[in-house]
Amino acid sequence: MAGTFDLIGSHTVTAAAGDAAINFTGIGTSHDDLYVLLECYGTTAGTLQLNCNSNSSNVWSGFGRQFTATGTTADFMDTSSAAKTKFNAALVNNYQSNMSLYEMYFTGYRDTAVQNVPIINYRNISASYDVRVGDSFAAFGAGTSSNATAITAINLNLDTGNFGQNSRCSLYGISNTI
Amino acid sequence: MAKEGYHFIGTATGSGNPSSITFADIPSGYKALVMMSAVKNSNGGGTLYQASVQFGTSSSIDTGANYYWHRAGSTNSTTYAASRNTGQNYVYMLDYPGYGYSTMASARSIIWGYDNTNQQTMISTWGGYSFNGTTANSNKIWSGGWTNTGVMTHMKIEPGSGVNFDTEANFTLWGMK
Repeated sequence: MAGTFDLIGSHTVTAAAGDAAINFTGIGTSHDDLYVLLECYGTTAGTLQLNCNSNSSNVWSGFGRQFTATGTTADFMDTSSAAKTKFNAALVNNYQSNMSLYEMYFTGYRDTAVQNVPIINYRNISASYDVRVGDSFAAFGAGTSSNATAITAINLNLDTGNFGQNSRCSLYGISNTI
Repeated sequence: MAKEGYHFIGTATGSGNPSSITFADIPSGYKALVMMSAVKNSNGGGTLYQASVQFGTSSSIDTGANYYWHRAGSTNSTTYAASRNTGQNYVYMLDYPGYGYSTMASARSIIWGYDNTNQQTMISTWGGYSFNGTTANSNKIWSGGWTNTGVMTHMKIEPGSGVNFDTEANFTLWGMK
């Protein structure tokens, strides 16, 4: 029987060269919501973009706002009407000492009764502004896939390069009843 | 005992109106720490105070200029441009109103990299308050870090310059496995 907050799977990047993707597959339908905690950095210099996909869906839309550096506030992700092939979830830095952190909630991930599910709410909180790093940011947003099937797989990758060594990600299932 | 999820570490209150609250001997081994806060001071009169946090190894809290932070959010009808600073003596975590406003601010903090010697201890707090609709309101994300890569075991929270915590202030700390 599922508990209220269960660890479903976890992944730690062990290879020195990093991993191109973090994948969770075979996700069951025992819970009401999913929660992802991702602590990561990239192997490519600069700020990178985190991409999220589920069930290889290719009809994503989303919206978010990021607060970057001094005085910069910008809307991002898909602000047009065109569907995207993935959910663009803001930025990742490339310093192991200052990893970016993401929290993602896949609300109603198993619900097939509504067309535009799942909805992903996330926030990215990377305060990487120490003396070596030239940027800092915070962001939050939401994305939607119009693939109305239960999520059984989640894929995370970067637009350039790999997740760096020691990056780690955990997938939890949340139950609304005990 | 659950083997995963949220594990209770400790709670602290403003009983006795302390000028700071410290979580000591925080255990290692969690993916992240999560803290829920309800903040109020006992003697402040203004509409905007800022609670802050410092970290330490062993029993020594680092009070040096070894912190940095990033701010985003709004107060009342003003949306502040994102701002950041480095070489600071603490990380801000929450804006809250003074005692005279008879309300409390609430926040959720997540702390990561705290027991990994490849990483600095980093914290991000999302919190705010609303008093009487239009009188005093704030909603911000404060993120920041401590440049030390040692294993963080102590965390000190202060209510701001010249004020003490109200007895109703409370903090609860969990570890996430």
